[in-house]
Amino acid sequence: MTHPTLAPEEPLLKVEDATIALRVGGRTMVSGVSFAVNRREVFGVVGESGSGKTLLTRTLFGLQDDARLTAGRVTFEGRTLPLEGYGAAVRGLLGHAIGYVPQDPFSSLNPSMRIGKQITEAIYLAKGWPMGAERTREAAIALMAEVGIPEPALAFDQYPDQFSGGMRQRIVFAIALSQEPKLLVADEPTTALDAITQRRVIEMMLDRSRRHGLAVILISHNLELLRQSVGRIAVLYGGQLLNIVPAADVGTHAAHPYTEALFACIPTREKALADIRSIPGEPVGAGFGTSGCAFASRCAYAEPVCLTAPLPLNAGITSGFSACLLGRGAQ
Amino acid sequence: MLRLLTLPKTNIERAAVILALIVILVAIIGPFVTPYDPMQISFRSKLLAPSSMHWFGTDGSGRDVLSRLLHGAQLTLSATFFVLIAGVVIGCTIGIFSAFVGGAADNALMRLADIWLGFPPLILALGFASALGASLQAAIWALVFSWWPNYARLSRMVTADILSQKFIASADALGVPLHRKVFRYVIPNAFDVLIVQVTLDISAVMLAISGLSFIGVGAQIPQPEWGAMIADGRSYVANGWWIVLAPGVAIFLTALAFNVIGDMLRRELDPTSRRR
Repeated sequence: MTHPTLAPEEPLLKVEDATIALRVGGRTMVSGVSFAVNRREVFGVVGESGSGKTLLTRTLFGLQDDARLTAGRVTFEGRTLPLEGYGAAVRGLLGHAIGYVPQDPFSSLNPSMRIGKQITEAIYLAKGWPMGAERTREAAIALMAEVGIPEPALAFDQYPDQFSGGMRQRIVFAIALSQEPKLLVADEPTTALDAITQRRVIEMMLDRSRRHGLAVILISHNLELLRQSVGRIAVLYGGQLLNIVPAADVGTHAAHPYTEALFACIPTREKALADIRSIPGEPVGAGFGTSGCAFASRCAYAEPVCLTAPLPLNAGITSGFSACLLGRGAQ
Repeated sequence: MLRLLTLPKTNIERAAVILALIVILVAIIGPFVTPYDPMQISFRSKLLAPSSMHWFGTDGSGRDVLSRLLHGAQLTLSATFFVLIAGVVIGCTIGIFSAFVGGAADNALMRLADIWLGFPPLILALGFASALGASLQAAIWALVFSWWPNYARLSRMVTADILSQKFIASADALGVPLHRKVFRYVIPNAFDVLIVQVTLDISAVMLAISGLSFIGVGAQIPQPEWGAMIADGRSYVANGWWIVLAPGVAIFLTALAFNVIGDMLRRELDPTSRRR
């Protein structure tokens, strides 16, 4: 059943002009970020360490205690969340409408609770016991089988430390899936895993998300991983949203200079060694503000205007967006 | 409980576990299997040396030492466990609450615990004895009041550590409510640290109760509490060594057994080598 007031093209999550500041000191870390995630869309967020991508998403979903949303408008399923008491409002959506897969599978599971119990608990928290203990147990085992845990009935009674990192991330994902959210937020879900396991877990995650009709926000510092897994990518740098670009366009079409520079860093099969270039200079870190482009100091195309002009904001929530002051990458 | 039998690695640990189980068994069934009434005074049979009639002899008032020892096991151990359970409940409630709320309340509660820790239990017990009259109850409450800050501080530290871990953030993302977080996430994960501390404290509390009874502010003399039995028997040491030896050895062995078990649990349940 669809929401009666919701037009079909209405995005699931709409973030407009989000500004995030630290609670202590009040320093603004992320400013003027706008984007929209459609139903069933896989949306990537990329940025270097310290670009503010984790701070942005954790604050947007009420999981960051030391930062808060100071300005902006967040709309989920057509309902605008109040800025006053935002954390409590968005936490009310966690656990049923929004699922969160944390960064590190090794410490994200309760070490003293059997994993089956952790899944049934998640089901219980999302829906109460609508189907009774035995049916819940069966649903949990079915989910474990679905995410690729061998012998799920046996695994049901085991503890987290009896599983490898890849298996634990699958369990974490099964827990998130069990609550049947509409939006799944995965924050660097595979960073702690080795390359092969990483690929398999991501593929499993995206495949199951598609099957369950979930929208996914995948946060990563790995542009190549995102380029191969998501539909659109939002590029963050210095707490600024610099670019929203279809993943297929990265490396093939003109994009924001920073996106192009990021892509130039990645070794791919098609590229000669000489074409792999690092970005000169050091990353600026989040909290750059909105006057001037945060990337200007390292940008090959930078002109004086880039250092002072106010950064264009993604006012239209269009599917593509480039914040380049010189108009590069604009569609 | 069954796991306790598989943990011992050395014969000393096996002996300690068996001894502790015997002491607990005696404390439970002891009063039902005593050969004599532990309070029955009989001047015709006073100061009898150990014999087949009185295995551990009789004391200065002709009471059977073995019967008193068996009754004393229940009195001493139940007093010890009461102190520990009350101390853990009060201390952990305050400690966990403190860690959850944080901030000024956390600070105030922990400084209160610090101040409380500064009171020597002996002085507190003397104060309780003069206020309530010297009795085992007064000694027990004095020990409860001087013991809870240890658990408050320990549980606060452990809880703060658990709350900083990522599975708590994951629990938040799943919408786990507060009471569930306390009982399903914090307490089970703090349990190992607490059980080690409690086991190590058994002997300390037992010695404190016996010590307070020995100096006369705990259990009063006809009561078959182990410390009080030693106090009663010390004037007969020259011609009745068995009167102090039996409770003395009982205190020594019980304290030793629980200390060895505490050390064993600490080794086995160390958070860095969990469940393997």
